[in-house]
Amino acid sequence: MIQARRLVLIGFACAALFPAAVATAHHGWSGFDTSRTLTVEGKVASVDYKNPHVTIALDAAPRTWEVDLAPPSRMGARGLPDGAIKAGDTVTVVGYPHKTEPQVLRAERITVAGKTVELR
Amino acid sequence: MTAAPAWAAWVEQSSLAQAIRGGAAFYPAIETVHILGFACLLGAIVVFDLRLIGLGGGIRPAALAAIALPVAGIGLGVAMTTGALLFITEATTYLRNPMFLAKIGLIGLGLANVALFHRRFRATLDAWPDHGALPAAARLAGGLSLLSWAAALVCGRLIAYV
Repeated sequence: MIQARRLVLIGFACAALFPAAVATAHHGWSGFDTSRTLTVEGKVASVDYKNPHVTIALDAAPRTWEVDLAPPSRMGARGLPDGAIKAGDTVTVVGYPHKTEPQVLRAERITVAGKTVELR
Repeated sequence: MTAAPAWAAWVEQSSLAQAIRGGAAFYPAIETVHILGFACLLGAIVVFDLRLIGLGGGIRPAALAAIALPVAGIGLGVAMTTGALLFITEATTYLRNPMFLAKIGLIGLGLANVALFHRRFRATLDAWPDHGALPAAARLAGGLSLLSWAAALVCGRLIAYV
Protein backbone atom coordinates (compact mmCIF):
# COMPACT_ATOMS: atom_id res chain seq x y z
CA MET A 1 0.00 0.00 0.00
CA ILE A 2 1.38 3.36 -1.02
CA GLN A 3 0.90 6.06 1.52
CA ALA A 4 1.06 9.00 -0.85
CA ARG A 5 -0.12 11.60 1.60
CA ARG A 6 -1.13 11.74 5.20
CA LEU A 7 -3.51 14.42 6.26
CA VAL A 8 -3.79 15.04 9.96
CA LEU A 9 -6.53 16.81 11.84
CA ILE A 10 -5.51 20.29 13.02
CA GLY A 11 -8.34 21.57 15.15
CA PHE A 12 -11.87 20.84 16.16
CA ALA A 13 -12.61 24.55 15.93
CA CYS A 14 -12.22 24.38 12.14
CA ALA A 15 -14.77 21.61 12.05
CA ALA A 16 -17.20 23.70 14.01
CA LEU A 17 -16.68 26.65 11.70
CA PHE A 18 -17.12 24.71 8.48
CA PRO A 19 -19.97 22.25 8.89
CA ALA A 20 -19.82 19.99 5.88
CA ALA A 21 -22.74 19.39 3.63
CA VAL A 22 -22.37 15.94 2.15
CA ALA A 23 -23.63 15.94 -1.41
CA THR A 24 -25.85 13.07 -2.42
CA ALA A 25 -24.01 12.37 -5.64
CA HIS A 26 -23.56 8.80 -6.75
CA HIS A 27 -20.05 8.64 -8.13
CA GLY A 28 -19.22 6.09 -10.77
CA TRP A 29 -16.30 3.93 -9.78
CA SER A 30 -14.41 4.75 -12.96
CA GLY A 31 -14.17 8.40 -11.94
CA PHE A 32 -11.54 7.78 -9.28
CA ASP A 33 -7.77 7.98 -9.65
CA THR A 34 -6.70 4.54 -8.48
CA SER A 35 -3.05 5.37 -9.12
CA ARG A 36 -3.12 7.66 -6.08
CA THR A 37 -3.81 5.97 -2.78
CA LEU A 38 -4.45 8.45 -0.01
CA THR A 39 -4.58 7.88 3.71
CA VAL A 40 -6.68 10.47 5.47
CA GLU A 41 -7.17 10.78 9.19
CA GLY A 42 -9.80 13.17 10.38
CA LYS A 43 -12.81 13.87 12.47
CA VAL A 44 -16.21 12.77 11.25
CA ALA A 45 -18.37 15.86 10.74
CA SER A 46 -21.48 14.00 9.64
CA VAL A 47 -22.66 10.56 8.59
CA ASP A 48 -25.23 9.89 5.88
CA TYR A 49 -26.07 6.21 6.37
CA LYS A 50 -27.90 5.64 3.10
CA ASN A 51 -28.13 3.79 -0.17
CA PRO A 52 -26.59 3.38 -2.66
CA HIS A 53 -23.61 3.90 -0.36
CA VAL A 54 -22.91 5.44 2.99
CA THR A 55 -21.09 8.77 2.87
CA ILE A 56 -19.30 10.68 5.60
CA ALA A 57 -17.99 14.22 5.75
CA LEU A 58 -14.47 13.98 7.11
CA ASP A 59 -12.74 17.08 8.47
CA ALA A 60 -9.02 16.80 7.77
CA ALA A 61 -7.55 20.25 7.35
CA PRO A 62 -7.11 21.90 4.97
CA ARG A 63 -10.21 20.29 3.48
CA THR A 64 -13.38 18.50 4.37
CA TRP A 65 -13.55 15.27 2.44
CA GLU A 66 -16.73 13.75 1.15
CA VAL A 67 -15.94 10.06 1.57
CA ASP A 68 -17.93 7.34 -0.20
CA LEU A 69 -18.00 4.13 1.83
CA ALA A 70 -20.05 0.99 1.02
CA PRO A 71 -23.77 0.15 0.79
CA PRO A 72 -25.51 -0.13 4.19
CA SER A 73 -26.02 -3.88 3.71
CA ARG A 74 -22.28 -4.47 3.31
CA MET A 75 -21.37 -2.01 6.08
CA GLY A 76 -23.62 -3.90 8.45
CA ALA A 77 -22.26 -7.28 7.38
CA ARG A 78 -18.68 -6.10 7.94
CA GLY A 79 -19.43 -4.88 11.44
CA LEU A 80 -20.31 -1.22 10.88
CA PRO A 81 -24.09 -0.95 11.34
CA ASP A 82 -25.85 2.41 11.46
CA GLY A 83 -24.47 4.25 14.48
CA ALA A 84 -21.07 2.54 14.50
CA ILE A 85 -19.54 5.67 12.95
CA LYS A 86 -20.70 8.87 14.60
CA ALA A 87 -20.06 12.58 14.17
CA GLY A 88 -17.07 13.47 16.30
CA ASP A 89 -15.30 10.11 15.85
CA THR A 90 -11.71 10.19 14.66
CA VAL A 91 -11.31 7.75 11.79
CA THR A 92 -8.73 6.88 9.16
CA VAL A 93 -9.72 6.08 5.61
CA VAL A 94 -7.57 4.69 2.82
CA GLY A 95 -8.88 5.40 -0.63
CA TYR A 96 -8.70 7.05 -4.00
CA PRO A 97 -9.48 10.69 -4.84
CA HIS A 98 -12.01 11.58 -7.51
CA LYS A 99 -10.46 12.75 -10.78
CA THR A 100 -12.58 15.86 -11.14
CA GLU A 101 -14.07 16.51 -7.69
CA PRO A 102 -11.03 17.11 -5.49
CA GLN A 103 -12.90 16.78 -2.18
CA VAL A 104 -14.40 13.36 -3.00
CA LEU A 105 -12.69 10.20 -1.82
CA ARG A 106 -13.69 6.58 -2.48
CA ALA A 107 -12.67 4.61 0.59
CA GLU A 108 -11.25 1.13 0.26
CA ARG A 109 -11.07 0.64 4.01
CA ILE A 110 -11.81 2.57 7.16
CA THR A 111 -10.38 2.36 10.65
CA VAL A 112 -12.87 3.16 13.40
CA ALA A 113 -12.02 2.83 17.09
CA GLY A 114 -8.97 0.71 16.31
CA LYS A 115 -10.89 -1.65 14.03
CA THR A 116 -10.06 -1.70 10.32
CA VAL A 117 -12.87 -2.70 7.99
CA GLU A 118 -12.44 -3.53 4.31
CA LEU A 119 -15.15 -1.93 2.21
CA ARG A 120 -14.64 -3.67 -1.18
CA MET B 1 -27.19 25.51 -11.54
CA THR B 2 -30.91 25.92 -11.07
CA ALA B 3 -32.40 24.88 -7.77
CA ALA B 4 -34.35 21.65 -7.68
CA PRO B 5 -38.13 22.10 -7.56
CA ALA B 6 -39.78 22.07 -4.16
CA TRP B 7 -41.73 18.88 -4.85
CA ALA B 8 -38.47 17.00 -5.47
CA ALA B 9 -37.06 18.09 -2.13
CA TRP B 10 -40.34 17.15 -0.51
CA VAL B 11 -40.49 13.61 -1.89
CA GLU B 12 -36.83 13.14 -1.02
CA GLN B 13 -37.59 13.98 2.62
CA SER B 14 -40.70 11.80 2.79
CA SER B 15 -40.65 8.96 5.29
CA LEU B 16 -40.91 6.44 2.44
CA ALA B 17 -37.80 7.84 0.74
CA GLN B 18 -35.95 7.86 4.04
CA ALA B 19 -36.93 4.25 4.73
CA ILE B 20 -35.66 3.12 1.32
CA ARG B 21 -32.44 5.14 1.65
CA GLY B 22 -31.62 3.97 5.12
CA GLY B 23 -32.65 0.34 5.07
CA ALA B 24 -30.08 -2.34 4.40
CA ALA B 25 -32.25 -4.67 2.32
CA PHE B 26 -35.00 -2.47 0.86
CA TYR B 27 -32.92 -0.54 -1.68
CA PRO B 28 -31.05 -3.46 -3.27
CA ALA B 29 -34.34 -5.40 -3.38
CA ILE B 30 -36.02 -2.57 -5.28
CA GLU B 31 -33.03 -2.29 -7.62
CA THR B 32 -33.27 -6.01 -8.33
CA VAL B 33 -37.00 -5.90 -9.08
CA HIS B 34 -36.40 -2.83 -11.26
CA ILE B 35 -33.96 -4.86 -13.36
CA LEU B 36 -36.42 -7.78 -13.54
CA GLY B 37 -39.08 -5.36 -14.74
CA PHE B 38 -37.09 -3.78 -17.53
CA ALA B 39 -35.64 -7.18 -18.50
CA CYS B 40 -39.22 -8.35 -19.15
CA LEU B 41 -40.00 -5.13 -21.00
CA LEU B 42 -36.90 -5.16 -23.19
CA GLY B 43 -36.87 -8.91 -23.74
CA ALA B 44 -40.45 -8.98 -24.92
CA ILE B 45 -40.47 -5.74 -26.88
CA VAL B 46 -37.24 -6.54 -28.73
CA VAL B 47 -38.70 -9.80 -30.03
CA PHE B 48 -41.88 -8.06 -31.17
CA ASP B 49 -39.90 -5.18 -32.74
CA LEU B 50 -37.74 -7.62 -34.69
CA ARG B 51 -40.90 -9.31 -35.97
CA LEU B 52 -42.21 -5.92 -37.10
CA ILE B 53 -38.96 -5.16 -38.90
CA GLY B 54 -39.18 -8.45 -40.78
CA LEU B 55 -37.44 -11.17 -38.80
CA GLY B 56 -39.27 -14.25 -37.62
CA GLY B 57 -41.21 -14.86 -40.79
CA GLY B 58 -43.76 -17.60 -40.23
CA ILE B 59 -44.79 -16.27 -36.85
CA ARG B 60 -48.14 -14.55 -37.09
CA PRO B 61 -47.70 -11.03 -35.65
CA ALA B 62 -50.98 -11.20 -33.71
CA ALA B 63 -49.92 -14.48 -32.07
CA LEU B 64 -46.61 -12.97 -30.99
CA ALA B 65 -48.33 -9.80 -29.81
CA ALA B 66 -50.68 -11.87 -27.64
CA ILE B 67 -47.77 -13.07 -25.48
CA ALA B 68 -45.06 -10.44 -25.97
CA LEU B 69 -47.07 -7.28 -25.41
CA PRO B 70 -48.65 -8.25 -22.06
CA VAL B 71 -45.22 -9.32 -20.78
CA ALA B 72 -43.75 -6.01 -21.96
CA GLY B 73 -46.61 -4.10 -20.34
CA ILE B 74 -46.24 -5.86 -17.01
CA GLY B 75 -42.48 -5.34 -17.15
CA LEU B 76 -43.03 -1.64 -17.86
CA GLY B 77 -45.39 -1.34 -14.90
CA VAL B 78 -42.93 -3.06 -12.56
CA ALA B 79 -40.02 -0.99 -13.83
CA MET B 80 -41.90 2.29 -13.50
CA THR B 81 -43.13 1.51 -9.99
CA THR B 82 -39.72 0.48 -8.70
CA GLY B 83 -38.09 3.28 -10.68
CA ALA B 84 -40.28 5.82 -8.93
CA LEU B 85 -39.26 4.36 -5.56
CA LEU B 86 -35.58 4.65 -6.46
CA PHE B 87 -36.10 8.14 -7.85
CA ILE B 88 -37.59 9.59 -4.67
CA THR B 89 -34.52 8.60 -2.63
CA GLU B 90 -32.44 11.22 -4.45
CA ALA B 91 -35.00 13.18 -6.45
CA THR B 92 -33.16 16.51 -6.46
CA THR B 93 -29.91 14.87 -7.57
CA TYR B 94 -31.56 12.87 -10.34
CA LEU B 95 -33.25 15.96 -11.74
CA ARG B 96 -29.78 17.49 -12.23
CA ASN B 97 -28.37 14.34 -13.84
CA PRO B 98 -28.23 14.65 -17.66
CA MET B 99 -28.35 10.86 -18.14
CA PHE B 100 -31.47 10.59 -15.99
CA LEU B 101 -33.16 13.36 -17.98
CA ALA B 102 -32.14 11.68 -21.26
CA LYS B 103 -33.52 8.37 -19.96
CA ILE B 104 -36.87 9.93 -19.08
CA GLY B 105 -37.00 11.58 -22.51
CA LEU B 106 -36.27 8.27 -24.24
CA ILE B 107 -38.94 6.47 -22.19
CA GLY B 108 -41.35 9.21 -23.26
CA LEU B 109 -40.36 8.61 -26.87
CA GLY B 110 -40.82 4.85 -26.46
CA LEU B 111 -44.27 5.30 -24.89
CA ALA B 112 -45.36 7.79 -27.56
CA ASN B 113 -44.30 5.25 -30.18
CA VAL B 114 -46.36 2.55 -28.43
CA ALA B 115 -49.41 4.82 -28.32
CA LEU B 116 -49.13 5.78 -31.99
CA PHE B 117 -48.57 2.16 -33.03
CA HIS B 118 -51.66 0.97 -31.21
CA ARG B 119 -53.81 3.81 -32.49
CA ARG B 120 -52.73 3.15 -36.05
CA PHE B 121 -52.68 -0.64 -36.12
CA ARG B 122 -54.94 -1.96 -33.35
CA ALA B 123 -57.72 -2.70 -35.83
CA THR B 124 -55.56 -4.29 -38.54
CA LEU B 125 -52.82 -6.14 -36.64
CA ASP B 126 -54.93 -9.28 -36.25
CA ALA B 127 -55.15 -9.63 -40.05
CA TRP B 128 -51.39 -9.39 -40.74
CA PRO B 129 -50.17 -12.60 -42.39
CA ASP B 130 -47.47 -15.01 -41.20
CA HIS B 131 -45.18 -14.12 -44.09
CA GLY B 132 -44.34 -11.02 -46.06
CA ALA B 133 -43.42 -7.44 -45.25
CA LEU B 134 -45.57 -5.49 -42.83
CA PRO B 135 -46.65 -1.87 -43.49
CA ALA B 136 -43.73 0.56 -43.68
CA ALA B 137 -45.04 2.55 -40.72
CA ALA B 138 -45.10 -0.64 -38.61
CA ARG B 139 -41.53 -1.48 -39.57
CA LEU B 140 -40.49 2.06 -38.72
CA ALA B 141 -42.26 1.82 -35.35
CA GLY B 142 -40.36 -1.42 -34.65
CA GLY B 143 -37.01 0.19 -35.40
CA LEU B 144 -37.79 3.29 -33.36
CA SER B 145 -38.93 1.11 -30.46
CA LEU B 146 -35.72 -0.94 -30.51
CA LEU B 147 -33.57 2.20 -30.48
CA SER B 148 -35.52 4.13 -27.87
CA TRP B 149 -35.78 1.31 -25.30
CA ALA B 150 -32.17 0.22 -25.75
CA ALA B 151 -30.97 3.83 -25.44
CA ALA B 152 -33.12 4.32 -22.33
CA LEU B 153 -31.43 1.29 -20.76
CA VAL B 154 -27.97 2.63 -21.63
CA CYS B 155 -28.74 6.07 -20.18
CA GLY B 156 -30.17 4.44 -17.07
CA ARG B 157 -26.97 2.49 -16.50
CA LEU B 158 -24.87 5.63 -17.03
CA ILE B 159 -26.76 7.71 -14.43
CA ALA B 160 -24.19 6.56 -11.87
CA TYR B 161 -21.25 7.57 -14.07
CA VAL B 162 -21.84 11.23 -14.87
